[in-house]
Amino acid sequence: MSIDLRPPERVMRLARMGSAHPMRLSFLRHLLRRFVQEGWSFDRPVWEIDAHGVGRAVYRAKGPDRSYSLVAFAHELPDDMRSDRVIAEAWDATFCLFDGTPTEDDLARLAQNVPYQEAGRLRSSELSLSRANRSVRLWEYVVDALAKGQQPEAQRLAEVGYLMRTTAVYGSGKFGAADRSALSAHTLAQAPFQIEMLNVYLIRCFVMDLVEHMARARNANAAVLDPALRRQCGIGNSTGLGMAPFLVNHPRLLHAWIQARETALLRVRQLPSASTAQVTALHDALLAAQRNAADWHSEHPLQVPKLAHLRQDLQAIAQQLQHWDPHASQPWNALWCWGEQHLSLEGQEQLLALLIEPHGALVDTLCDTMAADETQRPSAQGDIGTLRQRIEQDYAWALRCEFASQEDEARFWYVSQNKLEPRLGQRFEEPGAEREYPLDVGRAVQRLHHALSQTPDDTRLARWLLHNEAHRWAAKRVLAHLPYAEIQDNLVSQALLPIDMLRCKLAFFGASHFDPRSDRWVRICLFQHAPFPHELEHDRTIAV
Amino acid sequence: MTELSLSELFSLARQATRGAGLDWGLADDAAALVVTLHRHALPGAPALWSLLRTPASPPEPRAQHWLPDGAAALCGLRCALYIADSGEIPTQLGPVCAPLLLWPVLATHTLHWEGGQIPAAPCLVTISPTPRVSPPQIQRAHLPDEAYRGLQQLAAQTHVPESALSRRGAGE
Repeated sequence: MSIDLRPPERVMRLARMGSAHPMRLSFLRHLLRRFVQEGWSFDRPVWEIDAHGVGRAVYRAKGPDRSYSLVAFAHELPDDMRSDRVIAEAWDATFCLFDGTPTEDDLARLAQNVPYQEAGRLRSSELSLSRANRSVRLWEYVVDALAKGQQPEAQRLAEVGYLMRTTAVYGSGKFGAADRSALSAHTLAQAPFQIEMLNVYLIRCFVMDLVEHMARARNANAAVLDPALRRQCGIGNSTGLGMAPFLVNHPRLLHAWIQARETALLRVRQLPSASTAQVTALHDALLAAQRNAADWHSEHPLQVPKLAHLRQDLQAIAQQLQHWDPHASQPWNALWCWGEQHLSLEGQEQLLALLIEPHGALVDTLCDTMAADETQRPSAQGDIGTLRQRIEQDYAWALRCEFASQEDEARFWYVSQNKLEPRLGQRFEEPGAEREYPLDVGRAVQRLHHALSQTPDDTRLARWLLHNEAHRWAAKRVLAHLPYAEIQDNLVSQALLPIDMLRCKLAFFGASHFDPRSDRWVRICLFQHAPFPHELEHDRTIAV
Repeated sequence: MTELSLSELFSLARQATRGAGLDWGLADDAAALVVTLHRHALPGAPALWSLLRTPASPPEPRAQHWLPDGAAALCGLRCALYIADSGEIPTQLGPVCAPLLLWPVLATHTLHWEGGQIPAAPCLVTISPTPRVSPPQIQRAHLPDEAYRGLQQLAAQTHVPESALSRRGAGE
């Protein structure tokens, strides 16, 4: 039986992208495997934090070709100044990832810049900038419990999942930091978001050390956190609209990510048989997914029913596995086809993650295909006929989009004057639509197609673009000809849920516990249950 | 001089081009040209700044010599993009505003302008099919203050004051 890649028209819909799950190709999983495979080591050359939790620390990660240091500044922040919004100006802790080991002069310079975040300035020796706030629900509770010589309750930790959450992690080139293109000599930077994930991983180490340090400051005989509870703590992240346009502004990258994931699924579905070890690994992955779904809390009306579906679907998968014959021909494909017929979108995308989990040897090298050269510009040396054909073939979804009513183009994407952050405005209710940013791919391609309608097929495209500049942006997107590059939905519709865009990207990061707080911002967790540096070598959950 | 990362430069050039009233497609390509120039330590940002404040006309490519239709000089950006799009390379064009923008799309050719120096004003450009020697690549951009401030002002034309409506539901 011929098995093909899932087509873009099925994969690239927001409802499905907004049901994506982390998987073994996700960037944080890639980083953890890298640590083990490349024999990374970690140390903490600086720890100068006082009894109030204020000071600085350096965490160093040494890879095969170079080392990286997280420079952490811990601050005392009044409760009324703690805000997750990007407009905040003070945080509990601020960080940067430094290329190599910082000197005292570097640390002094960074102390004058990193705590001010966007208002500071970085150099090319810095790779990432970030900040984090304590969880109000957990921080004092955990410090107090440890100071009393007790352990915090596992259930209370599980309900939140982290002791601090980052409110921004800036990467490539931001605020003067090194560009990704300048890191060609860094093996680490050849795959997407490894720098940022390393930053967050080291923040997690810092946070767990800090909570124990503050407990010891209250009581020299304070308990240390039980290793199992420690492991349960990830790093939270609060993120909003700032992340949403990324998928539209980086079509080559989006295509590379989705193509890698879909290729992984295809390879597994094509396997003729299932080994005993693979079947065991599948059951282990299912148990982990069930534990994750049980610990995954959200009160948002959009997420509550999705979580209910996911839990039902995981139950259905468990039942199906009892009947599943791993010795039948193409057993993985049989399981997948059953899932496509019986599971919700949440369940199907979870099943995808489960199916590729036991197949590291088959799929992990696809991580090497998930970067993209975004400097490539598509050629416009063809004719109008070719462009028209491409539109009608690859962008049929755009031609089907309705733009008849105000609802269909009710939103516009803009960049805010005060923080230079992406925002979503109401086109017919507030000013600024004339300064709209181009995220309306469907509408723009439809307009391009209409503009071409009176133009003969043999007209040279370059000449046509010279006199039809307003359509250049859409034409170049079409000419790039990347099947998985476009979200095939109307991104300016009133019905748009920006959190669907966030979830897709965050799943590729490896984020869990996606918890929407509105239709446009979410909290998630990174590295929950992941091994700490001293646990890496013997950890089987990394599944190298 | 202001030092920028190349991604900061891309973002600034893209927004400034759009802020000057050109379409986003031109803005994307203009930013890419400017970044390529600075990657080779060539002053792309001042070239873009001079282009965006000077009236210029698109090329009407005819044979080997491209001339402006009216009084305004040819637009260096549009000439560069037409060369990249079409593969057509004239032997002479001009006068051209911001002719340095032609440099990134003519990797296998050599540009000659009147006076020999990188021109500040529109000038006649000759293109010869002899491979050029490119300066070594660098990873940071250094912008003269006037061009930096000018591009920033234009970029601000693409920003919108945040409204209470769009702030609603944006986070705690």
